[in-house]
Amino acid sequence: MTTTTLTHPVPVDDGHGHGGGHHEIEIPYTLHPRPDTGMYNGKLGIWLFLASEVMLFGALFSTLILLRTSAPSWPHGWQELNIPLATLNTFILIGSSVTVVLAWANLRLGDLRKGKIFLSITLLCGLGFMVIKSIEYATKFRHHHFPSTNNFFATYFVMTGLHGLHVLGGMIVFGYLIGPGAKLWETNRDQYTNRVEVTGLYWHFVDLVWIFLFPILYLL
Amino acid sequence: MPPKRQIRVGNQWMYARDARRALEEAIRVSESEAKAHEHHVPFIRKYVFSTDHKWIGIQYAITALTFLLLGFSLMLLMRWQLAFPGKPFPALIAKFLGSSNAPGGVMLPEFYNQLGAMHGTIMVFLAIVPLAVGAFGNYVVPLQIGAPDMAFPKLNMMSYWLYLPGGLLMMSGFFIPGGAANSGWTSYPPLSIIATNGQTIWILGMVLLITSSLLGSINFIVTIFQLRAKGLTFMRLPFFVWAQLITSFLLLLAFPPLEAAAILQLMDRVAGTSFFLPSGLVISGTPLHNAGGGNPLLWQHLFWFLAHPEVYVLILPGMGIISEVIANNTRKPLWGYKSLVGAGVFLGFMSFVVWAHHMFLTGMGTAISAFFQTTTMIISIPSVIILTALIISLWGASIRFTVPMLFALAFLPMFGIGGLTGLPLGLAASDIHLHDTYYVIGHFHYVVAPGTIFAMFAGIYYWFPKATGRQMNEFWGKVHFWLSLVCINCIFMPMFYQGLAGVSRRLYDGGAQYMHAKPVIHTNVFISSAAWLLLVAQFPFIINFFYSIFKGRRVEANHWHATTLEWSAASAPPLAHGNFAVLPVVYRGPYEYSVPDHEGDDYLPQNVPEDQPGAPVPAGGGALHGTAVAQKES
Amino acid sequence: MNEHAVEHAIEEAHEHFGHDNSPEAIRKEIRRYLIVFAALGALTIVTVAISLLHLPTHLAILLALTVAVVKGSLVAAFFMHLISERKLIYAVLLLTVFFFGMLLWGPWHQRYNAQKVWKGYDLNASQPAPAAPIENSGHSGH
Repeated sequence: MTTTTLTHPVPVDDGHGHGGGHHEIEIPYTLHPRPDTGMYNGKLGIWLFLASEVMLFGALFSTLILLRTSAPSWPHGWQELNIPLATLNTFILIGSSVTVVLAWANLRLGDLRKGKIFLSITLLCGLGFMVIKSIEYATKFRHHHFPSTNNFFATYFVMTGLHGLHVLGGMIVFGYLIGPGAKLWETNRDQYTNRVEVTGLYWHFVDLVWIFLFPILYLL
Repeated sequence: MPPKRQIRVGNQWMYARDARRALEEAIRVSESEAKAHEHHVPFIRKYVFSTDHKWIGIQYAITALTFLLLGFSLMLLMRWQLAFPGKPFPALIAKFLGSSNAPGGVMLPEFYNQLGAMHGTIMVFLAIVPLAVGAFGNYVVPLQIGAPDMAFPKLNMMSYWLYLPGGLLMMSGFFIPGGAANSGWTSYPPLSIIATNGQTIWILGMVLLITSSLLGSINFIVTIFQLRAKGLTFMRLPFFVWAQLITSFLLLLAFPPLEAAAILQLMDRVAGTSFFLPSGLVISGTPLHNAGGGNPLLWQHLFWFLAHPEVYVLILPGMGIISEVIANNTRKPLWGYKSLVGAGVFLGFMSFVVWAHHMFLTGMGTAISAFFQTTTMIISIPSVIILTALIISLWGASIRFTVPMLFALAFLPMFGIGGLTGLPLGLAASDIHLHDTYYVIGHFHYVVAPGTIFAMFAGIYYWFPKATGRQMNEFWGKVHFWLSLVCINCIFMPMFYQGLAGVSRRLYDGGAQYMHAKPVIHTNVFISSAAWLLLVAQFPFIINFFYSIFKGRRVEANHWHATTLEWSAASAPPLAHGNFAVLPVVYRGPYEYSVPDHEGDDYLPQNVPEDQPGAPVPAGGGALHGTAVAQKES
Repeated sequence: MNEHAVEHAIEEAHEHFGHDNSPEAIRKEIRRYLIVFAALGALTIVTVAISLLHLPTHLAILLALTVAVVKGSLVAAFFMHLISERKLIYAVLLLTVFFFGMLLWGPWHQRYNAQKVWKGYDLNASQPAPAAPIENSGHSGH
C-alpha cells in the first residue's frame, strides 16, 4: 500500500493517457484489496454475481424437485440419457477448472506464455464440452425427444441448455483474454492477472453447477 | 496548550468555522481549475454512452419519469372505462386509440386488459425501481460516500442501456397484432401461456430489465463496500446509503428466480413445454395438446419470491430519502439511527420469507399459510420501527416547511395507512374476503403512490440544487404538493370502501354486473375525476422542473445546510470529471445538526474536522486543500 | 527482468493480492490443485459406479448428493480458494444459501397438493388426459 500525497485535485489528475483523449477517473481498489474488506472490486463483484447465479439455478432446481416429487411417474436419468458421454463431459469440465487455476498460478509467477497455454486448453475443454453436449442433443432430437415431450425432458433441456449458455459465455471471455485482452499484460500485469482470477471464479462456478446437474439429471 | 476552541490544520491553529470556509474556498478554486483543464469529451460519450454516475443517474431519472407519466396515462384511460362503462371516449382520444382498440370510441375488454397489465409492469419495473434505485442511487450514493464514481462505471452504463431497450421492447408490444401483454403484471399461468404474443415480448423485455438491475445491484454493493471515504464507517453511513445497500441485496438475490421463471414461461410459450401447465387443460372447450404435469402454483411461488422483496425495493429507497429530508429540515439528528439501520436490515432479510402471503387463496394448505402469516406479522415490526423513529424525529424540532419536507411529512401518514391496511391482507382469514378486491389496490397504492412516489418527489426537490445548481420554485412546488395530496387520497381512500364491499379488481366494467357492487360503484366517477385532476396537478411540477433547470434561482453549493458528503462537492459537479476536488475524509456520523456547545452554524458536515480544543488531528491531516493528504491506493 | 526484481515484484504482489505469491507457495498450490483434480476424478467414478447399482431412490439420492456436495466443496474451497477468503464472502454466501433453501422449500411444499389434483396422470402418456372440466385445472381452491 502506498500513500500518495494529492497536491493536485483528483479531477485534473491526468496520469492515465487512455486512448481517444478520453479522461478516465481513477477508481480506488480496482487492483489491490481494500484493507477492511480484503478484496479488490472485481472479486467482490464476481462473488456477488455468483450469489445471484446460485439463486438463478436454485429456481430451476426448485422446479425440478417440485415437478419430480409431484409427478406420479418420472423416468430415471440413466434410462433416458447417455451416461458415458456425460461422465466424459464431467471430466472435461473438472479438467478445465484445473487448467484455469494453473493459468492463474503461472501468471502470478510472471509467465504469460504458460498462462496463455493453460487458458487455451481451458477454452478447448469448453469447446469439447459443447461439442459433446450437441452430440447428446442431436441424439435426443433424432429419437424425437424434445422439451415438449414431457417434463423430464423439459427440465433436462432447460437446465443443461442454460448451463451450456454459461459455458459459452465463459469461452467468449477466455477467447478475449487469450487474444486481444492479453495486451493488458504489457501495461498492467496485476489487472490482467485479476481478470483471469475473476473469470476463473466464474468458470469454477459453472463447473460446480455441472457437478450437481450431472448426478441429479443423469444418475438419479 | 492549544488555543481554546481551535483546531489544528496543517501547522496552524484556527476556528473550525474558518477551516470550513477555507476548505470551501479551496474547493471552489480547484473546481475552476478543473473547469479550465476540462478535456473535450465527445458528445456521445458525455451524454449518450456516458460512464459518469451522475449523468447515468440523470438518464435514469428522465427515462423513469417519462415511464411514470406513461404508466399513469394508461391508468387514466382505464378510469374512463370504469367510471363510464361502455360510453365512448371523447373524440380525440378515441381517434388516438384507433378502431382496433376502441371501435366506436368504446374500449375493448382485451385492450382494457393490456392497459391493466402494462400499467402495473411499467409502474413497478420501468418507473419506480429505476427512479428509486437507478436515478437516486446512481446520482446520490457515490457522492454521499465520497467516491469518485461507481466501482464499475462501464457496467453502470450497460445497466442503463439494458433498461432502456428493455422498456422500449415492452412498449413495442402495443404495436403488434394482439397487442401488449394482457395477463396482469403478475403474468399468472395458464392464462399468460395461452395469451397473445405480447406476453412473449413482455418476457423478453423482462429478461433485459432483470439483467440490468442485476448489474446495477452488484455495482451498488461493491461501490458501498469498497469506495467509502476514509473514516466513513458503516455506522456513519447516511440512512439513504443503507437503504440502497439493502435494496441492492434484495435485487441481487430475488430477481434471478424470476429470470428463471421467465425462461420457463418462455419455454412453455414457444417450445411447447408444460412447466406451468397442468394436465387436462381445456381452453374454450378445446383440450390443450401438451404434455401436462406442470404446476401453475410454481410460477406464483417463483414470481412472488421476487415480487415480495420487490415491494421493499420500492419502499426502502423512499424511506432513505425521507430520512435525509427529515433530518435536514428538522435540524436534528435522526431519532434512533441504529434502530433504523437494524430495522432496515431485518426488513430486508424478512422480505424473503413472506412471499406466499400473496397465495393464501390458492389452496396451498393451512400449514404453509400459517407459516407465511406469522412471518408477515413479524415483518410489520421493523416497518413500524422505521416509521416510529421518523415520526419521533419530528418531536421538538423547529421544522423548516420546505417543499421536500412537505412531501416527507405527507409520506409518514400515507405510508402508515398503506402499511396498516396491509395487516388484514397478511392474515389468511381476513384475506379470504379481501383478496383481489379494490381493497388490495387501495392498500398497495397507498404504499407506492403517496408513499414511494411522494418520497421520490421529495428527493427531486431536495437534490435538484445538487444536480443543477438551481432551486425549483417553492410556490409551484407547494401547489404541486397540496393538489397531489388531496387528489391522491380522493383516488385511493374510496377504494377501501369498494373493496370492503367485495368489488373485485380487474373488472372491465368496474363491477356493474354484480349485485353486491351496486351500492358502492357510484364512487368510480369520483375516483376517476380525482385521477384526472391528479394529472392536472402534475403540470406545475413538469413545467417547474424544466423551467428551473434553465431559469431557476441559483443557489450555493450547500443550499440546505446539510451535513452529508454530497453537499461538500460542487453543485452540479462537472460530468466525467470525478466528484470531489479532494477525496473527503469523514470525522463523524451523518446527522450532526444543532450540536450542543457548537458555535456558529447549526450543522457539522461529516468532512469537517473536530472542533474540540486540542483534539488530535486525525490521520490524513486537515482537509485543507494544498496541505491535504489523502490516503489513496495506487 | 533480473532475479532480484522478480523477488521484489513477488513480495509486492503478495501484499497486494492477499495470496502468498512466492514461487514456492505457488508451486505448492499447483500440487494441491492436481491432488484436488485427482480427488474430483475419483469421486466422479464413485458416483457413476453407485448409480449403476440402481439403489432404492432415497438411498440413491442421499449418496449422489453427498458425493456432489463433497465435490462441490472441493471446487469451492480450493479452486475458488474460498478456504482462505474473507468473512464478507462467507456472509454473502451464507445469506444466499439460506434463501436458496427457502426457494427450494416453498414450492416443494406444493407437491402434496399437486399429487392430489393430478392423481392417475401418466407422465409418459402421449395423449393429454381426458378433457376435465376447466375448474379442475390446477387452481385447487376446493
